[in-house]
Amino acid sequence: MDNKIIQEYLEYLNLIHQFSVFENAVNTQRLIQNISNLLKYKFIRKDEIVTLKDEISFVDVILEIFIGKYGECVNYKSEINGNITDVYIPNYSVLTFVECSLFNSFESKENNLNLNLCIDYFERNIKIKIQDDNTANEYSKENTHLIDSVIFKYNSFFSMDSLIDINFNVNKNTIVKMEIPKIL
Amino acid sequence: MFYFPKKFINVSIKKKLIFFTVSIVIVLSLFNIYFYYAFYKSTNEYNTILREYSDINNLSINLLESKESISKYINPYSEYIGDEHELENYDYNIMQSENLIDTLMNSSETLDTYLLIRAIKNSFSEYDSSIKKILDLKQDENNYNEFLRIKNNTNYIEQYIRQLIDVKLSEGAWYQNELSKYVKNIRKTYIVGVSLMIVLSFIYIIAFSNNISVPIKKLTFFAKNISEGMFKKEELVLNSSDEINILAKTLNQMASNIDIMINLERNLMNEELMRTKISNELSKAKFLSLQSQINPHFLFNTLNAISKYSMFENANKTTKLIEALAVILRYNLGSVKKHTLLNDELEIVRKYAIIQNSRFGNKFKFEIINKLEKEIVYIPRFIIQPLVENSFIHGLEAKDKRGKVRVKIKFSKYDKNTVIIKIIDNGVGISKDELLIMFDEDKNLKGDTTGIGLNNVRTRIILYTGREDSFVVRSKVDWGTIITIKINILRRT
Repeated sequence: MDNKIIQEYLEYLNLIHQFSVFENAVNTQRLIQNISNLLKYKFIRKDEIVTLKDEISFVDVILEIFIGKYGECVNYKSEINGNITDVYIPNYSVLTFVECSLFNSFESKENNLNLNLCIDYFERNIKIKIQDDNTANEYSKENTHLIDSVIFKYNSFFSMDSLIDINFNVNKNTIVKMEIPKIL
Repeated sequence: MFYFPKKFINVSIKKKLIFFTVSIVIVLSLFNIYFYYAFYKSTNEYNTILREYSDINNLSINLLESKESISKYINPYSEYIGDEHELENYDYNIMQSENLIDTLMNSSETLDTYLLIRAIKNSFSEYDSSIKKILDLKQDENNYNEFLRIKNNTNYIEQYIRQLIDVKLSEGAWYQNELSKYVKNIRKTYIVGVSLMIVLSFIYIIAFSNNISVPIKKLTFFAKNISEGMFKKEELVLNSSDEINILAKTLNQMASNIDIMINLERNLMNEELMRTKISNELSKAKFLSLQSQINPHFLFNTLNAISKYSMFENANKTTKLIEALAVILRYNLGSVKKHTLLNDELEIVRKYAIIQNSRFGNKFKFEIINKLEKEIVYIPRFIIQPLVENSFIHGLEAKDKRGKVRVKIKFSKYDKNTVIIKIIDNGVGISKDELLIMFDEDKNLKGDTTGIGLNNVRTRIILYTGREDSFVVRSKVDWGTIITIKINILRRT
């Protein structure tokens, strides 16, 4: 049912995209394309296992939508080991935390948001670190349910517990550490 | 009041009835036997007295006849002298007399009677032996004189017989007196016995009816309680073990079983309600889940941002469409409240029509005639938009010519608290088979923006109004469809 509704919306977005092409609205086209792709990735492929590379590519899409919406308000830095992006993870697990960081920052922060994404080996395992400097003490209540389900999905996929660690440092930053066991 | 003793209470009704009937029959039989015996005895005694009277009388006659016969036989002047027949008569009478005397002697009960009869017997013997002696002699005149002397001597036999008659008469009188006393006693016994039997029968019948009617009253009361649905009242307990008690136990069991069945049914209903509630909660949860996943604010803001971009880029049509989509999205994901303002729902319908019209190249004409525009009316969410969507998708999409969808809203002529909403299209119409598929959510897979099908709207409206006629679909193939909703408004100011 969810997919059915999303597909309908995607059809509308596609329709609007076509109009924007007719009307030669380039930025509009690009934004619609981004939001459409993001919705497809998030909902149509929600039960899929994706590569880390795919997941990281959509970080850029989200950021582009965000910047397109709010302007240049995010300083994004990424340190990603290119050799390890072919590992598989559950869909929208990294992006969920990226999304949360972005959304939360606009509730609590007036200055630009610094967002760092680091992916590398650490003691034979792959570690993903998502760090922001927003001053919100924790993610909003709206996101708690979503994060809980992502943690459950992530741990279930790797059949291990405590693979995701979230640290809210009061008035300082939020650090999310995700671990991918080497065996995979 | 009379009741059966405890031991007897436990006897079955059948046995009680048998006991009563057998008792009555036995008592009546005993009475009959007793009265028959008493009657027989008194009759027998009366007959004995009469027979004795008869015997004594016969004895007297025999004596006379014997004297006459022997007189004729012996009398030298008689024409029957020496006639053997007369002699035989004499012997016969003597023999008869002896038999009668023996009979009387055997039946004599008093000493006086016995002595008298013995005296008669001895006298008869003496008389007979004297006659026999004369008969052995030559029949002449001297002999005949001797006979006359003996004949005179027989007077004392007649005297004895008269004495015996007197004694027997006095005995008979005494017997009669005793007999009448006896009959009187029998009559008394009869009256007392019958009265006693009537009283006892009456007591028995009262006790019997009490022991049946009281439990039956209890049974009736208990059955009435059951019929009124009071199964959990106290168990029916009767102080007996007859058929009524069996009936009571059966009723108790039946009440218990019905109670169990009702509880089971109630539990099933509760489970069903719980399942429905869970299902509703699940739907709600799914909705919330979707809402949280999409993050409405993000999506609305993004759409608004796109709208601004398109505006800067002079893409007016795009702007209009993005705005429409944003409004629809906000409405669909914005709230889970059950009711919404009619005007809000209509706004969504307008936006939806804009998108659909753009989608199909202005092929459709859409209009809303709302006579409640100035009213603040609340209606259940998502009842008009899915139906308009249905008109577009199922009615007009397949139509070659320009289609039209009209939404008409007005108050009912008869009730100002009832709103009539009509969704009219001139599309291809819906056949009965198609309508059945549309009412089947599992089969109706054609997409929509809310995930709410025609059947969902119909079910919700019927549940909301409690009337089957509150949702009516009239359709004709190649002509169009009219869906009419009659709904009570929640609040109107």
